[in-house]
Amino acid sequence: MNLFALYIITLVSSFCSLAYQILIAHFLTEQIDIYIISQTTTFGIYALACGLGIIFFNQGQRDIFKFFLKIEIYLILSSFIIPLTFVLCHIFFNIFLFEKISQIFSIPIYYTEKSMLFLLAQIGVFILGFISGMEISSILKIKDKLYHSETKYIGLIFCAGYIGGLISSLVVPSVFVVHVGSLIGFLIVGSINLIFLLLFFILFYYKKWISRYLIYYGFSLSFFLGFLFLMSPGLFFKLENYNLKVMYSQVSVEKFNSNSFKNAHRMIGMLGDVQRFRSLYQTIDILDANFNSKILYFFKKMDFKILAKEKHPNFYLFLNRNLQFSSSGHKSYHESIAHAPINVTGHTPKNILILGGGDGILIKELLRYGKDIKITLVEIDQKIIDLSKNHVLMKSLNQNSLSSSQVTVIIQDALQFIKYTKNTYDAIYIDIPFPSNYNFMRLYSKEFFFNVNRRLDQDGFMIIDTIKLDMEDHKIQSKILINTLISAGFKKNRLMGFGDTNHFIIGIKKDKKMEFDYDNIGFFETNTLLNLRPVTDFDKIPIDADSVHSLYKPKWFLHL
Amino acid sequence: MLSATIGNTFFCYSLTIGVFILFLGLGSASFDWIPRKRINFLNLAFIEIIMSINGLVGIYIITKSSLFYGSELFWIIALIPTIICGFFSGLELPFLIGLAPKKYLKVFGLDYIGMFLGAFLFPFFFLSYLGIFISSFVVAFLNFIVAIFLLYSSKGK
Repeated sequence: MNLFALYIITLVSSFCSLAYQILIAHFLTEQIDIYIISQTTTFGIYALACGLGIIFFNQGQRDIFKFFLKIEIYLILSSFIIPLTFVLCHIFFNIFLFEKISQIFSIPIYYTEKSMLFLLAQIGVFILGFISGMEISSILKIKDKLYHSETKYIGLIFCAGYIGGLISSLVVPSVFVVHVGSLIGFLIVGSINLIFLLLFFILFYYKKWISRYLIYYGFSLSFFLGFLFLMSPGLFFKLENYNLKVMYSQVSVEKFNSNSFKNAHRMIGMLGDVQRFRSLYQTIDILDANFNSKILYFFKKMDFKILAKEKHPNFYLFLNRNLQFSSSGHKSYHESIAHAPINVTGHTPKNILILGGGDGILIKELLRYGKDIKITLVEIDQKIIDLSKNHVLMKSLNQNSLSSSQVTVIIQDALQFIKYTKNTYDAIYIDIPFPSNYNFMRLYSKEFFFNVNRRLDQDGFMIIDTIKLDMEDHKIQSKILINTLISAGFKKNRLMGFGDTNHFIIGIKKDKKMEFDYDNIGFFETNTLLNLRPVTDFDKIPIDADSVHSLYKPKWFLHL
Repeated sequence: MLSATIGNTFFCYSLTIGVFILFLGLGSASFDWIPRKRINFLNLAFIEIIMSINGLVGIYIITKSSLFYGSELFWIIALIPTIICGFFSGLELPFLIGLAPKKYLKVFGLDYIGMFLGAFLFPFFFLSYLGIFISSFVVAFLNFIVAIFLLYSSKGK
């Protein structure tokens, strides 16, 4: 019985401690959206702290059971306190600190925010990792004490640890993060840890019920239960939304006193809720008309100058905290991507492939070319398709285009689809987010563009929305993108970049002069015309095989 | 351990990591059935050599396995290197501990610190400067060096 109990304890504790790490990594990614760095650094620091925890474990413990219980209590306590501190610090820093620090060091406010959150999360994960390291050591020592041998059953204990890790790495990202979010995830994992502590009590201490340990730890335990009660999910949800509101509105005050904090709190209270939807692939935030114009302030700071000129914002859609479109900007964006390549090439496509673009607005624009065009939409995320079909706001924007009989929706990874499809298309629209995480980076790779090129008809074109094609500020990114496109078979003279607020690259297969036909502006509205500005200095980009982004040799599109 | 660090929410990665960890578990569980006298440097060197060969051949197998895409065979072939890697990595750690039972917490702690190095070096150095194929060769070579070192020290005893 004791051995079995030890396995269960190992399994649960390994599940919980790895779950804490995964949740912190996800929480950080949600806040700062630098996926690769967040995930790898958080895991790295966690492993380091675990290692240190094990190495510095004091071997001379007199009562290992007591020590283990103490460690568990520290772990549970930190699992509640760390995320809470993280959120409260985020809110507090947003209101009081970020702007001031940015002014002192004259750096953009989101740099300050990202780096401070990053630091906070690493401190948190270090503490959790260190305690977890101590926990693992205690379990092993308990085993030694029970069986008087260092090597006996060690393999099975490790096995239980790995299985706990396995469950954690499968369940946490796909269930907890998707369905309840990382903050509530902490609450659940913390509770599992708490129940497991009770189990430990009963299994190992049932004979000594009225021991002094029970009085000592019973007090701590009831403290946790009370704490848990206070931290009821409703409160966590509220806190999470409050945090989101602060994040998007960027309310900040000049003076550091309670009065100004009260004012800020009142201001945040006036804002409408942020509607957050989660899927396996992204978090979708919709700020609708209720979320009032305070948000403009945010855009001023983010250097979204054009958007900030708008007087009456209505809504914004963010994917992983990156603005996808707003009520004012979406027209110019979607008209540019839909009609510009047709204007430039003079070729109206009949058989169109759209990769990404699950919001359906691009389809709405393309359906204006008549009843005889056929559109295939490949989108990885069912959630965004559901939202586009059912959310009132989204439906009004895309005029329910996804339900049109001319449209076929395929839920699949675009990289896979383009690799294995047998069809060819006379237009391929690539409407995917910026390559900020590994999954999106795969879609900016040589292999992806090679297959796009292969699936394109001789007269066809492809268009991709891209990072700012600025040869000065975004030099490295532009260099990587252009070199990748060239290595995938698009010749330099068959590529054309354009844009002002949004940037795009058009690629064709035949040699043909590409320029805008300004006499024939078709479906463009006046605002969009500003965006039709060719980027002419492609020639300045050196051809460099080392700047090619490939699946097998990725180049990071760093944008810290 | 290196491959566990590029964790991702996607099914492909979940599957790979899931299978990897599962076989890590099976590998370490199987340690308990190994007779005590078999636990020596020579056999650890043998494990290291298997892992380094697996590292070299595995990448080739995974690349070629896409020929079978669409059938169940694809997953079976693509996962074989992962299974081998997981099983022997799982076996490796208790083996090391079995060799140094008195200092096992130190060994275990260093294993985690190795993981930390892997987590940082793999995505930022190996992948971007060397690419997946050369990285795999380098890591396999590291394993091979360990094996040679172990053979040398087992000879000394």
